[in-house]
Amino acid sequence: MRNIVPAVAAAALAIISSPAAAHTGTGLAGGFASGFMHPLSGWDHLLAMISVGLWGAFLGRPLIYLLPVTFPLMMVVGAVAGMFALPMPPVEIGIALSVLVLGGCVAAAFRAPVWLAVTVVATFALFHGYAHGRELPSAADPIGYSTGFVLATGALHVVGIVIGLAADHRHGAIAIRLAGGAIAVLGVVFLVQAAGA
Amino acid sequence: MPLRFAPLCLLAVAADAHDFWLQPARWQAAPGEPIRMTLQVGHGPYRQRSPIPARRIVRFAAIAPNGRQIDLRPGMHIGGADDATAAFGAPGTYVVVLETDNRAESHLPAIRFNDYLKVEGLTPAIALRTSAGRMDADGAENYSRHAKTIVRVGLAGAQPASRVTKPAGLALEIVPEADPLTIGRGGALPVRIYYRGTPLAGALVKLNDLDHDAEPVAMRRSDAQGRAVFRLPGKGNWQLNVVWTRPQPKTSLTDFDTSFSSLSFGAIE
Amino acid sequence: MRDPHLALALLGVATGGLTVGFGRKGGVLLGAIALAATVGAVLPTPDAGTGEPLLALAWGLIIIAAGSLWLPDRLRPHALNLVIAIVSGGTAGLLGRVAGVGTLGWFAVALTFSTVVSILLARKRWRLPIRVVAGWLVAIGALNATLTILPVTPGYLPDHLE
Repeated sequence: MRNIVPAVAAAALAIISSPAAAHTGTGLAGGFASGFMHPLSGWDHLLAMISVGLWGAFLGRPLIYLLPVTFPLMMVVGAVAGMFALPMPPVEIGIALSVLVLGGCVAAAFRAPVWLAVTVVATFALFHGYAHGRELPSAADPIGYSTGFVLATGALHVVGIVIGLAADHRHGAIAIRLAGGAIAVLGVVFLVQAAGA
Repeated sequence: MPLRFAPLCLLAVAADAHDFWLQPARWQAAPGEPIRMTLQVGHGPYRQRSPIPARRIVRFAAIAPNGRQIDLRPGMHIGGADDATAAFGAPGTYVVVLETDNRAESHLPAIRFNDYLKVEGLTPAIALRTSAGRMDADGAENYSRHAKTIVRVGLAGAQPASRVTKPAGLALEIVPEADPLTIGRGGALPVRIYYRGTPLAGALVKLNDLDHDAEPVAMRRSDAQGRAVFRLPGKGNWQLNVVWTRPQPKTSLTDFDTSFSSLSFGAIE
Repeated sequence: MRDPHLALALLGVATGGLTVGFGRKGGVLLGAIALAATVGAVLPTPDAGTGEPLLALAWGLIIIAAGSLWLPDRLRPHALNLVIAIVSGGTAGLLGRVAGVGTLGWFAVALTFSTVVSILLARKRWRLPIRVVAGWLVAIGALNATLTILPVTPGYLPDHLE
């Protein structure tokens, strides 16, 4: 079950992507398709992005559109820091924390003020971006790769927003909060793994 | 380590050019007819003439059917319309060998260096970097080339015994245990890998179709006796390659000393 | 020069779809005409040299065009649409001159498609999604502009050539 989303996405991308880029065995990041798949290829990235959308949908205007813009923009700042290998706190821990905190905000139905929500999302976006940025210069097509992962990030936010808006009634709201709780629990798991690595 | 699964769709464009081989313009020639050769590097869309300078070539010779070594360096003209020309008066199967020094250097960022080690099957090097905690460090190596090609002079019916199945003394060498030029379509081609004179186990050997070389046709790991067996698909232009590396002393400026070896030939059946 | 196709496509999206299509009535047509005229005017000019500075300019224009959508309407006069349209069209034309006229197909298709979509969304008053996409384009433009000035992008450099 957990492989369905990336499997469907991979199949769709395989259809629309150029087939001429395959090479046996190499794990190097490639171009657009590779970049688009990158946020989908790790549960920590994927859950954090969707949580941003879920939380934005819950918080409503203006955060419903500010958060899915803030995250990619700050992710780019983090990516640039990664490309230049600037010193950064442990990135895997930051990413794991993002899943825990964002999931927790959804679970707790936390109505943060605009400045706080933007700050939280922006801070965590730096960590996600840094992780992408460390790989980016070694991609065979860095421009395609970077475009792919920014668009995938935005798409995941939209998925979170759509889910959040679709659950705009009492039972749906409870379901979303439960989902947020599950995401936060996974965040704890990721944190333990990252801290132990 | 966060929960991650292997990316399902890594359409990676290989911007690398690891492989090197001798490419004769023709695999067969009449006695005395010049055979033009180029030095090629990279496969698929990245295939190109190697820009190696002539001063780095320490051996360029042919081994005649009777075992005599013929120095081919006078026929070298690296960087011209082709890179070398050789002519052989006596009929027979000749093994042309080329070796370089190891003064070429490669410096790659960690991600690319680790990927290169994985693609070329250099698992001992990966294990070494892992145990030393250097998987995030850039990789630097010296590397050398050891290439062989098989050319046939005169008609097939009147060939004296060849030296194809004998080692030519390369530091890293692919030695066929049967003459590839006599193996029919689908026939077995056993090869033995030698590193510094001893059989090498665990090396990744690749078979490439030089007419469609974006990806290898087959890959095999050499066994404990250094042997790997391929099925020759049939007529065509073929190339086998293998890479091996060893760690440099701590006083060295690079981490590894890597040897690239190839064997190219044209199967006519 | 690095592959300009993606830059041209996104420049078409940012300029046409977001700027021209998002503009007020009248500005739409004017912007489209200016764009087409500029692309056509630039093509016969002498060789524009290497494309790397043009690529960097293209990414910068994507940032400006997409970022301008976040300006309040009173700070987005018709003239701004026109200026962005002319400069973007000129840049696309010069890139086409360097990389081959065929690459302009990416620009033209992206421009046309995104202009139509943007006009339709704007009429439905779905301006927020357009603004969100504009934000993503700013992010993409900033990242790729950085790549053009990065001293080394090892992914492009082949290794083990000798």
